[in-house]
Amino acid sequence: MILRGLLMVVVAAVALLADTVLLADLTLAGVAPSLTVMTVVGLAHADGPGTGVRYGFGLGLATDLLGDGLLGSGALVLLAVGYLIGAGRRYWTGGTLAGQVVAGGVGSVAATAGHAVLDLLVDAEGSVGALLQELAVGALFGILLAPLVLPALAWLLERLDPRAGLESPRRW
Amino acid sequence: MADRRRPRLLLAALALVSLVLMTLDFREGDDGPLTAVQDRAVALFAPVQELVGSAVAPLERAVETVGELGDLRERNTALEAELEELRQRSVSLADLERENERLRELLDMRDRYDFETVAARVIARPPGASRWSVLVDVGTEDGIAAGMAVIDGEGLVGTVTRATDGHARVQLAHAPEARYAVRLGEEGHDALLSGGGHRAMEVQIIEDTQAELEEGDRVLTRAFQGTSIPDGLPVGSLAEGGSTDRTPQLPVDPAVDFASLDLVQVVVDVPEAPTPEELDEEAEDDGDAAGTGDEDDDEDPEDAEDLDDVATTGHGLAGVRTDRPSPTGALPAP
Repeated sequence: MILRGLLMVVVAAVALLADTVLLADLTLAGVAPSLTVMTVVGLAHADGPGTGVRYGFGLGLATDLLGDGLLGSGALVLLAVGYLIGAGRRYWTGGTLAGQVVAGGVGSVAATAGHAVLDLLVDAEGSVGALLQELAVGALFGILLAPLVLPALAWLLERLDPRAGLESPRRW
Repeated sequence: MADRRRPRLLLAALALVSLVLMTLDFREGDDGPLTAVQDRAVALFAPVQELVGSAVAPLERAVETVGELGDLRERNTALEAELEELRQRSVSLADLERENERLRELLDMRDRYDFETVAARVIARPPGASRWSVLVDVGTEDGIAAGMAVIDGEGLVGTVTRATDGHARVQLAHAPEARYAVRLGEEGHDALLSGGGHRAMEVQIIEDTQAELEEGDRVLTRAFQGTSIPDGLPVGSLAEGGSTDRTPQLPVDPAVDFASLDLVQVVVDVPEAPTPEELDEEAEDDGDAAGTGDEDDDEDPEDAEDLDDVATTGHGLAGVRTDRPSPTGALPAP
């Protein structure tokens, strides 16, 4: 349990550093790939909604503390993404490549849409066209990153706790 | 059944915590305990970001170099041509410098734009969905405070929104929430610039007078008393022209490339903005000068462009070009 906790802290720190230092400039139409969202998707997909919600909340809170948005907004979005992917994993094809791609795309779109809704609530301006473009590019990044990130996280979890998640889709 | 309900209960509980945090943060504004916690978290994490950023910089450069191999031959040819052009220009550089000095004296703009800056390096962008700010490696220990303008060699980058001991958060000028008082074109029409976010930056004309604006007209900051934004900083140029009465909002091409910010300068000491009375006097003086100095007036636009060239090719440093006068030479009457 402690090792799993440590693993998640390390994964979260690496994702935050990668997002803020490495990936921030790799933008396409103003949208940068998000490893933080992808780690939430990966852990929720491999370990279920409970892990997805806990990890999503913790990582979201960290992004809020380091960012300039409302404290709690990132946590709300990422815990919702964690629950969505964890609870919905049984509806797509488990650990296959198609399943990972669907999870990555759905997770990225959900995160982008969640942030957009919260932005609207706090009175930020935006247009439907820009939002659709952001959703499309976010989905593309999610689809591209998922086959790399999801198997790696599932492999790490399985090394730490081989008995857990026998019915989970992390056995590819 | 209990196993299924646990994640839902956890989801509901943590969602509630998030909503409470959002409400508290929204209510307390920028000066509450939650903001202090955020500042402390940034202060703790920023050195790690800085360390990782400097460690991976060679790798980034190597990747960029490999990616640019295809363009190298073309760029080499272009650089050789530019070198030849610079050689020719260097012959007349001394003359240009004397002319530069004479123009500065004529326009009497040196004092107005003689502000102090602190150089800073962009070390990170915020995580999450918000991409409209950057973190720089200078803070209150370097004299940085909220509200200060941030510039680079091209123009206005943004405004400092928060500063800790060693770091500061800069809201970029194209952020959706960003608003700046600006003046447009040769006539210096008053307008309000909105960042726009993913959309183009926009200016909204706030004058009653009817005027024709053209594509490419410069958008410059307008100083007001009580703000720390220097007057006359380039913000961009109009992407479309139009009449102020028919098209009160016009898109703006930013002067700064926000996607590739690296070195910037924070303006720490801005001369006080002129009062409306001073602006009136200046406008009258300019009117008199226009009546008696035709020859100088004819030279000004081209010479101002020469000033740009000297500042760019002679120094190429962020901030050098920003203390130059506006093309119009002086503030218009309000």
